[in-house]
Amino acid sequence: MQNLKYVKPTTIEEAVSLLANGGATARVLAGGTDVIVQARERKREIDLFVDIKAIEETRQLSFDAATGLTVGAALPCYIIYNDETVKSLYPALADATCIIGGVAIQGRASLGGNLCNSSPAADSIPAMIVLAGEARVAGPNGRRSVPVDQFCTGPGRNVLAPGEFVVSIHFPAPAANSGAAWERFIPRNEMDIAVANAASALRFEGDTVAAARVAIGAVAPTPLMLAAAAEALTGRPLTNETIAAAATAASAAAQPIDDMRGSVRQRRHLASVLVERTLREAARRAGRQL
Amino acid sequence: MVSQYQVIGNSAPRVEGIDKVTGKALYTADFSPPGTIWGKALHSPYAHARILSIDTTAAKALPGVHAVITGRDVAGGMYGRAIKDIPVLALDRVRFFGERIAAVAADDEDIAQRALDLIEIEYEELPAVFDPLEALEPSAPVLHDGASAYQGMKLPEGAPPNAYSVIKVDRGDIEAGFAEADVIVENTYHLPRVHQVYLEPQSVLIWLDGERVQVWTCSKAPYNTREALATAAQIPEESVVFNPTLIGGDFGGKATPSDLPICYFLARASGRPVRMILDYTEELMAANPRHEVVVQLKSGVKHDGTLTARQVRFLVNSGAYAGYKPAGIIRGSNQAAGPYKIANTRLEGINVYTNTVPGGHMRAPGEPQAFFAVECHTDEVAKAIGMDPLQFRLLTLVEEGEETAFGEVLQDVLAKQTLMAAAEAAGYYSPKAPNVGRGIGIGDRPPGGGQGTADVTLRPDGTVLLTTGVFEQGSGTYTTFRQVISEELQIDPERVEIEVQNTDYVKMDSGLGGSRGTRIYTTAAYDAAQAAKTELIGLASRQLEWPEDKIAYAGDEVRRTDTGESVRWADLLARSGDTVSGRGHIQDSARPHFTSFTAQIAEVSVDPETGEVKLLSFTTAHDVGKIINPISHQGQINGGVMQGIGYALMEELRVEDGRVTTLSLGDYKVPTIRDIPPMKTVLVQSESGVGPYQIKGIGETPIGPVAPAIANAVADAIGVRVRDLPVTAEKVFQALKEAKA
Repeated sequence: MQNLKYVKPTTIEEAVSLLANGGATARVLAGGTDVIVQARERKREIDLFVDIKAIEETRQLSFDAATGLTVGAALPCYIIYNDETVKSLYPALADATCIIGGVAIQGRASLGGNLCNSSPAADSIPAMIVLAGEARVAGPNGRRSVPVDQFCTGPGRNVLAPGEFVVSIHFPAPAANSGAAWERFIPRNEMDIAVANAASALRFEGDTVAAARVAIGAVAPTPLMLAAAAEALTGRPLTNETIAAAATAASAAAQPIDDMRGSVRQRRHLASVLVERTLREAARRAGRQL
Repeated sequence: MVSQYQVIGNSAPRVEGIDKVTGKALYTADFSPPGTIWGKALHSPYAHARILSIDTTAAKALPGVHAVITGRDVAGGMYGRAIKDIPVLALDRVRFFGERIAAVAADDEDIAQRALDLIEIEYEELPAVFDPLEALEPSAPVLHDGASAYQGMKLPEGAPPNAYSVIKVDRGDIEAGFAEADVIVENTYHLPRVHQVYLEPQSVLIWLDGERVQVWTCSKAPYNTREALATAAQIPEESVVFNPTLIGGDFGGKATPSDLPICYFLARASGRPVRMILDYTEELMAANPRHEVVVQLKSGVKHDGTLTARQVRFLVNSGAYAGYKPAGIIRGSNQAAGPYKIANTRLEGINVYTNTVPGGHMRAPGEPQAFFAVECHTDEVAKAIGMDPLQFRLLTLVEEGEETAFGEVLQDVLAKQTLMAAAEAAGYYSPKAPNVGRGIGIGDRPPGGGQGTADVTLRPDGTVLLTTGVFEQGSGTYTTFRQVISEELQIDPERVEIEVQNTDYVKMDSGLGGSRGTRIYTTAAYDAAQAAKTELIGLASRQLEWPEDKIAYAGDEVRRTDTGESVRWADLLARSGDTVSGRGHIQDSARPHFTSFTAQIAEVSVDPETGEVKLLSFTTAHDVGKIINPISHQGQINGGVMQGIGYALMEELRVEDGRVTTLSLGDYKVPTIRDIPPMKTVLVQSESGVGPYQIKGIGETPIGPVAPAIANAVADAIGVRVRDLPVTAEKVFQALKEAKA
């Protein structure tokens, strides 16, 4: 472990100023399930932890039927997936948060942390992408919003500028006749890093898919939103053929690497299988039968 | 049936259990003599290289650093268990990625790590060989030019390069056997390196306390490890004391000398007690994993199911050194023909050096590798002649009076009974859903031998002290001791106290391993209890002037058998102000004439879209002797099966160009409790066993047949065969794809 300083500001302004003054070795601390391990293993040089958990906005969970759901960046997973609103209106978010690490990790780990750690295999990011999540960012130049699908720029890298941090993530209210689902593939039954993961969201008008969002993870330097898959689905009834076309688009878009968790060919294949499975589940949740 | 025993055979709580769950139990890392500092070793970043220069100037200059040592500071020390082929620190050459080159002792772990980062080393990379088959090629780089000079090494004549042990056994006429066959089946199986994944990493603390070298370390065979340390450090063995400590899991891997000699030289150079604890990256990179093995099997079989010949080639990738193996080599070739009737067999077992992490012992060394190969092969042979795998086994398993493939004639053979018990409990022939399959694995092993001592002391307060040199690694030996003493002295278990002695206790004690614990230590404790009773009767005779042959031990009392008079022995001892003691010592390394069978049946479902294997249920049947502590016995079965499930489905120390790539427990997968299916245990009572209670071993038998049972179930479910572990989703999916093409 490195010697480091720890501060716990209570306001956004204070946190921004600490981060801005701390420079490259200052790091936001929420649950710490990634950053503390990285500091311990010297994978990141850190000399200041800015704990954001005392800032009220980072711990909120609020829903408004008109504007949607706002999840504080530091809110632990277990609160999210146990929340009745999340369970009934955003089940894909519950899918993706109830399997991060084990029970102990879920008591600490947060959506903000998962997003800002920006791992290509991050479990919650594809779910946040298909739910049209937006990261609410605070920084030295004030507030801004970044769509989650544009947040990550590479493994462990993202759009945050020095002094910026994610305060919360906002999701629009679910439209009528819509559904979303998330799935991953791991070599064991829990507590594992995805070999591949995927999420899909569908909105129907009658039998026609009016809008689709499909995202995959662990198969590219960042989680990917798949425009081609969405295109293959939108404006048509959902059929085995359109699902297969979306799945093929997922395989084609995947740019995986070979590593100890999986090979290129397995990840490409899993991307298509998982996209197909999440599409079917999203349709089921939207009340559609295939 | 009414048991003849009061205590033996009933589940007993752990002697050390409450201390463990309340955090009071002391492990190596808990000991800290005044002035203790941290040691850490620098590991090679190359699989094979010449060391051109080492510059430690900057490391030595770092504040808080007390000593920096290299291969030049260890007096040419070499260590190992049977074969002393490992330099304490590499001198001019490294032979595996992770080999220890230099070491630092510093005020804390962080400073030690920073000092290691400051050591500058120039290397010249050498051609390396990682694959055990390639290492046998005439063109392969030779790892050890001077191997014949190593202490404990007996090189086979005319062996290929890097093969430091070749064992050949021929029985019958192999060529005639193959000529007689209707069908010949030949397969190669590959078993990966896996780690023991004990919770407590390898730990050592060494304090040079005047004349004595005080050692705390998690070794379950402290006398053997002491010898390895003394030889490496070139100091008299008697000067070294290994102090009692609990061991946080072992699974075979906790008797390696690994960092002990380094720690000794750091303590000597710094003048301070030095503690070294591996982190888990070091564990996965450079501890002493289970060996990679390649098994080539060829069998001749007749259409009626008669096995006419079997040829086994069992190639053990030793890694860069042999020294972590207690016997220098890993056997397994003798198990790879299986417990089957075969008139003609040829077995060849080879241990070969490669530029990879040296292997050590892990639960039933060599056996899970052998059982996987032969039990998958058995299904493949059955398939070749169109026979049901269960029927084929029932036809070919050895029976009473028959020779095994290795030429042994065993007694009380319960192979078929155990297999049938498993088949019945598993509903082997019941209907199956699509993509669901069942598979069988069977194997056997007798308990190992060794030597051990126990002393029993009866004390005036009515309590009894059991003295032992065993360092408990979690398998429940202390509890077994308490049960034996409680049983034999007819006293409440709470009145038995266990005292653990350091290595000054006796000359030699084998410690735990090889499923010998219950065999050796129940006998030692039993004998000690009888000896103590004899002593007590002698004392009673002298004190009470009763004839010795008229005195019987009766629980709390000694009783005169002719008059019925009795005296509490505690009072007798209190009166004389004395204690009485008895010693039990057993030295028995003979292979028993019986074995213990384990038959297992896995039920799996396979997802044809991903190749994912889900274990639906697992049945394990064991032929057992007298069970001393049922809860502990079941614990060994459950744990062995779980470890076997990991071996079957997910565990692998993946190596690329000699470098282990699964360097954390995130990437090195072990099963979690959610990967464990409903399990069913069946016990088949055997009439035979060793020792006063007729026991059989249980520590190692449950792990062996798990993986082949699962691989055979996968083949049964979807018709494809994976011959290299682990059976991952990707391998199953690719095999399915190839089968369709």
